[in-house]
Amino acid sequence: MTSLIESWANFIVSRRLIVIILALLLLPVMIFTGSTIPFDNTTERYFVEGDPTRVDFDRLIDLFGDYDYLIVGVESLSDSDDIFQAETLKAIDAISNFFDSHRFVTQVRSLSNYQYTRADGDDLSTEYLLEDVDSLDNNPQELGRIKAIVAEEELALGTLISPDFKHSRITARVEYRRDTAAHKVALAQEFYQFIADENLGSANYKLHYSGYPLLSERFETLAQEDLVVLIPVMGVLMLLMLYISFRSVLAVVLPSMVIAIGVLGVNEIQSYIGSPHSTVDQALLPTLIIIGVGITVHVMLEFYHYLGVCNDSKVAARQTIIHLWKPAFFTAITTSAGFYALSITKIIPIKDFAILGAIGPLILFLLALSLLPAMLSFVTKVPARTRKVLSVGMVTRLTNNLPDFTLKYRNIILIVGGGSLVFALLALPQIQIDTNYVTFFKKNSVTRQDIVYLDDVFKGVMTLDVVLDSGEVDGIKNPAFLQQVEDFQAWIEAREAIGPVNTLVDYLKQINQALNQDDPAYYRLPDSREMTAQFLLLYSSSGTNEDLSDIKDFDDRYLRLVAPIINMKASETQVELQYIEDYLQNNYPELNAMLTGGIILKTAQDIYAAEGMSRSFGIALLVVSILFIALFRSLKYGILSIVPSVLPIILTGAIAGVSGVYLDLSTILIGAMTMGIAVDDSIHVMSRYLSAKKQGIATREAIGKAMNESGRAVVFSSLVLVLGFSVFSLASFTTIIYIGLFGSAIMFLALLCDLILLPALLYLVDGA
Amino acid sequence: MQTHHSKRWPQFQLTAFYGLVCFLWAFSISSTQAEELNAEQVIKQADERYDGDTAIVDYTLVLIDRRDRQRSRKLRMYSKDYGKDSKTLSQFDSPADIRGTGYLNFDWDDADADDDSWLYLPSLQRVKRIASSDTSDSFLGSDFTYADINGLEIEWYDYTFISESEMVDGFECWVIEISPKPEFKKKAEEATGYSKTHTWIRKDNFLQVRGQAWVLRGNRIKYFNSSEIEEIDGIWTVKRLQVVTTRNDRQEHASVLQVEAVVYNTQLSDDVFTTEYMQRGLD
Repeated sequence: MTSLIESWANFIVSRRLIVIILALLLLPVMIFTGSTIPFDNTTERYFVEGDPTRVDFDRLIDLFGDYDYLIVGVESLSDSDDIFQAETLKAIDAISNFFDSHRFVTQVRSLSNYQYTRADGDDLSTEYLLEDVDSLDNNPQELGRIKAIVAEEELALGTLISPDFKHSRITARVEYRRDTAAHKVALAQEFYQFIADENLGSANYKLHYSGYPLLSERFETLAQEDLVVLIPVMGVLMLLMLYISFRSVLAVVLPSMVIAIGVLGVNEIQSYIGSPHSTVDQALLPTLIIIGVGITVHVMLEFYHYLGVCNDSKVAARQTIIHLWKPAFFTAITTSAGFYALSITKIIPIKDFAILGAIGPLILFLLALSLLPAMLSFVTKVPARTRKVLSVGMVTRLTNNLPDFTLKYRNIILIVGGGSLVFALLALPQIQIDTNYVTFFKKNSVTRQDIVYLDDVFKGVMTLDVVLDSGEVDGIKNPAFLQQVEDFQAWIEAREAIGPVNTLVDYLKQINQALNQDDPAYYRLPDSREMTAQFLLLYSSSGTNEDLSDIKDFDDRYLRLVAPIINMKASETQVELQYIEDYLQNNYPELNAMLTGGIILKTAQDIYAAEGMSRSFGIALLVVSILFIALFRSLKYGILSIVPSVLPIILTGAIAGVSGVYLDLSTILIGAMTMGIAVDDSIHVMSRYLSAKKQGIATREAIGKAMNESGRAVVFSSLVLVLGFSVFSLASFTTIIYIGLFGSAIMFLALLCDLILLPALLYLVDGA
Repeated sequence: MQTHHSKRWPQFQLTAFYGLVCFLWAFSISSTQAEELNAEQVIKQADERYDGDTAIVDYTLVLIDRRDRQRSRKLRMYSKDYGKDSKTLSQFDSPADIRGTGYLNFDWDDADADDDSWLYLPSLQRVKRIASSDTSDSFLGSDFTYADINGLEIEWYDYTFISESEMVDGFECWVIEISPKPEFKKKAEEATGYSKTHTWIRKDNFLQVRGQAWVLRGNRIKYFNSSEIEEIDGIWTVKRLQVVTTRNDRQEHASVLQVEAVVYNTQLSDDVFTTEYMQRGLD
């Protein structure tokens, strides 16, 4: 190992120009090659091929085509009792027409294109509810007529209009395209533009928009906007940190080049493996910037230290490599292992994040221990201001005083540390893993408020799809089957969490009534298979614009119930879904019901994420422990160095658990991810301590030496991490904000543990 | 022998309910004459074809979904001309659950008069009159609309050549764009649901072999294609007509009208075109 490191050091220093030229050549190559990485946050992308949830979902798409709906809620005017006002109906009509002519919308349901069927003797007519909106101005009689018709329409009540007539809903069924939401983004943006151009979003109309297509757009647009903010802010902050640390422009420029090449390299790999961006990997590049600053700070400090001692830049660069190679390599490996542990999940974007996160620290390590020392070997002297800040700076004073401080208060420190550990372990079971996609958006965001509105009025923006199998082609025409569907529909509609559902049953009952002189007694299912078939034929020939393709399949074997479901935490949703599934299995086993759709995918995603979390954390812990034991060749010191890294994580988790903050899809990444990063400082401190001990130095002095040599770098890099993670609080999504908060807290606690608890532990085991 | 539909230009002639299949040499034109025609004259010539006074056609209507899954319905259609008006009765033969279901349609030449339509449902043993004024609606759940079948008003449109010579399956064709005149735009769009259409007409026999229609709603384009063209009882007959509805260049669904058997100019009693006859069901 030592000879390898020496050869490496010799090569880098002797061939420094080649190393620099090669590395710098990479920069333009990476900037100008590689395709743009698309954004794909589609729910189905989160599942591996063959996953049962995904298989069911694909079956839904295969049978019924486009599955999701953009929803617009329209409130009545503030000075009106209901939506039956010319102005409001015109707005509904304008929005419906926009969707109707939009290239990505395959179906629109609204009062504007609602058709009702009426019998007049033997005549049967299908008429539009709103024939001519322009005739509604100052026409209370016509408005009253429309209102009276709607009051009788079972298919409209609850779905297109709220029972109190104060709210109306427009749904636009959006084209399904596999693995992309780009068309949904285009639709949403064109829709916003339309609303602005028509001045429909004015105070008068009070519109609310949501549904999965719009949420997709929000996720994508906000994620991209965030990246535009987060990366530059992170970059500037990091440059500032480097400048404050070293007071030298060179000490800012050189690490920046290393980090830029490293981060762009990871980006290049992401482009090469064809992994699209998602909300999960939003934190990846900023995190790599932070890690890059951490490792380059160590290299810079080490180099300045040796340059100050020997005054020969090439020797200093060589010594830096030799001295830092092993701890830097192990920190890179542990960070990498932390990320890689996340790859055990079944969720593809997290898998990709894990792989890229694992590659990043290794690339940064290679660059920091090759390009950076190669460039530094041209620096002939430590700038005066750098020398000053390094020798008498606050951090230096702090690290100088720490060994005595920790010695003096070691018992108190150990008691506090031990107490924290006990508290964390006791509180650990209280950690809740849950997700509520609504809470991704900040409380004051319009997106969130609109979801809440649509939840209140129309019971939800997400839908549960229940696919019922009659068992044979044309089987849905069987009255016995339809009767079961009707019964089940009545049951599910009565659930508190479920909104009104329209199924084929409703259409058939309506046709039956219309065919029997509008007699309400005939609002019932057809008596025979033939009658159903003929009703359906009549329906398709009677001038209706509904083709029913989203509620029955082409072969008339399957029926689909699209049930709106109110927003709940994933755990509550899971309970509700399980209840519905059990009910179907116990009461209607012959319906072979399949529960699928957006809400099922989301819930499965959360379950997988929760399953993965504890395992990935456990694996990260195991790998890091093994590496520590191997690195320090000691069980005792290996375990000791784990404590300062693990305690902050479980303590933060415990505090989150006790205070009721639950971990979700994104924040659960933080455990394994930060463990890999937090252990880095323990490695630096412990490896210096052990190397001092090896030389026969006493514990107090060995701690002093370790603090002196690595303390500054540990403090600098930790502050970089704390501040770096705090930049995430500028994000739009609360999950990313939480990653920032948790990350900052963990890094800060890790710093305290490395500087205070670890020495106290060393005093405990090795004697004062 | 009479010509009819001097004013109505069937969007896709062979789908006409009353003359699902009718193309005939009404008169012969030399190629020189053909070259001298303008686009409107070509359309009128194609329109002034004899398609039989009566017809009995057995055909299969195949509905195809976006994944090419197919479902077939077999029908028998009777049609008879009454001057410029026509009457049609269609009866379903299969599938079994709609066997005997009948659809009776009176198509009036008067542009301002809505068609009269009745539907007979054997399961209810009842005839229902359907007030269907929107000719852009789907015909029996297929990709064809009533307008495709019953035609549109020639005077409402402008006709321009896109190409005066294009080869289709070895035959030279005119390619003509049909777009509504500004003063009839609203009416024409309501009647057909199309913003414009293109049609390919063979120069040798004035037969439409291809069509393309731009649907007003949802970025859809419909592609018509006729094949299996045969001369039956002296009348040129297209035995297979396909229409594919695409949305953003992808097939959304398609329909095929496949003629199984056709008899022209047979004696057809006026009684056939009554609701009573429809109620009697199939033979």
